[in-house]
Amino acid sequence: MTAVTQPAFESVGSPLAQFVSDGWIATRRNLIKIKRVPEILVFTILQPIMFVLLFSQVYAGAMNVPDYVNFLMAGIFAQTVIFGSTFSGAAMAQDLKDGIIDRFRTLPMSPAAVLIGRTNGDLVINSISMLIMMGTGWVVGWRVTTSFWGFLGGVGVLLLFSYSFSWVMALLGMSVRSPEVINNASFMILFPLTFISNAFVPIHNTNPEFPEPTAWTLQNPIVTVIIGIVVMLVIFVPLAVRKFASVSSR
Amino acid sequence: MTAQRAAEPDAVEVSGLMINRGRHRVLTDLSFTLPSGRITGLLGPSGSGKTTLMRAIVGAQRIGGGSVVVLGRAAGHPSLRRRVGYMTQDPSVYPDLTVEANVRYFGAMAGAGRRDAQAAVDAVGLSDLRRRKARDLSGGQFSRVSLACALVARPVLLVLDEPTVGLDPVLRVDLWNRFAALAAEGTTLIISSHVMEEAGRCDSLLLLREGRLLAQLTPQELRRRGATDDLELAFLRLIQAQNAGVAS
Repeated sequence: MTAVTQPAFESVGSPLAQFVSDGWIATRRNLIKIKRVPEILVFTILQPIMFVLLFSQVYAGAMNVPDYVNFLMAGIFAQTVIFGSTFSGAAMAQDLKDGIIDRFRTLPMSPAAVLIGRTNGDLVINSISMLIMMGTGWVVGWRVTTSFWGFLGGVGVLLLFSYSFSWVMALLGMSVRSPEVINNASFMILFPLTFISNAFVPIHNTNPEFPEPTAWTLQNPIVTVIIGIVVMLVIFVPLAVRKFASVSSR
Repeated sequence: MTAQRAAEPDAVEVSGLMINRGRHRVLTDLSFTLPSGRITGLLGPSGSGKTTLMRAIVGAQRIGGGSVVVLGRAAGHPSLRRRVGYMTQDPSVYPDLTVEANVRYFGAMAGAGRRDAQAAVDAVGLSDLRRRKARDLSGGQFSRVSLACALVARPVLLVLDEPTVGLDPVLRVDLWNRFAALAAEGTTLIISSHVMEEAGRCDSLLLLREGRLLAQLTPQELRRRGATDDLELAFLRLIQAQNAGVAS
């Protein structure tokens, strides 16, 4: 009788190769989920259409902002991709609840792989909803006024911003442990924030006595966003990976 | 054969294990060793700490005291992840993936390929349903997908939390034959159950009650000590004898 004391499968190579391979496997799983659970995609598509139409058609007249559609679209883009990033939170909470993370933790895989796959899934969902929003925006009169490269750069910054926010939500999902809570909590936080910000209404429009804001962040929006992206990634990627390696379903 | 087995190191050594959850003590001062290449049945009423003990062995549970050594390493050591397979109590598979895609997914994370996934699907008797989505399966079929995901990487130590729940008698016998074949090849299995008739298929039993180890014995010893062939009755008598001992 030969005793089985050696593992049946050895490591597939360097830690980096393993990381890339595991991350790709997890990403594919999340892409299949988008295909298999079409509700996700339907709401991903309907929500931005609803917001673009509501704000551009219902509010535009009352806004007293010249060319409101072009002002609005930037805000809608940002709001929609941020909401798209909450999928990571709900999915991680669900995996934790189902005991799937317990199983992952007994497998010889990179601890970042599942998170990479999940956040990549959000990125794909957000890219699709960006396309839908652009189409809807174009119908109601939104036009690109910058150069082609400026336009691509803007799209890139938006997607990167939503990607880094996915990591924040993934950490939150593993912390609150309930998919329902993460959906409600993120809505409670994100919805007021988008209204307080200048996403839908220019700041000096909400209160005429308020002096025209001159904050550095408002004058350097692109740099501000990039700083935000870097800060979120540097802080929340390691935190989320560490949480994944230590979190337990009970 | 017995001598050869005795020469092998123990698969699991637990000593003085304490686990608390919140203010409750879930496991109290557990100590035992499990030999390699055997089927150990983990039995006890629900709430006796079976799942918690299994989680401690696979390294998914924070322990409050004592030690758990698995295949010569502290439980949860990264090198053990290639050698330990775990089936959780809730079927931890993705409902939107097909049977085979689930097994391939968890297999791929352990370096196992398509052929290994097919072998694991065959092993749990789901060959005909391999292309079916997990959410379209019955409860018993669903949990067998989860079992296949634990088998696919061909681990040296298999920790299975109630793998036969919800299965009909024919399938249950099938799976226990499969477990026996794995043990004969040298795999160590730890299987929890609250069906006492399954205890008869194990090489040795760990009887848990209220977080304490009531006894570690073979099914034959249990029958002898309980003075009955009925394992369930024997277990009950053991508990009553202990209660009487505590009371006097």
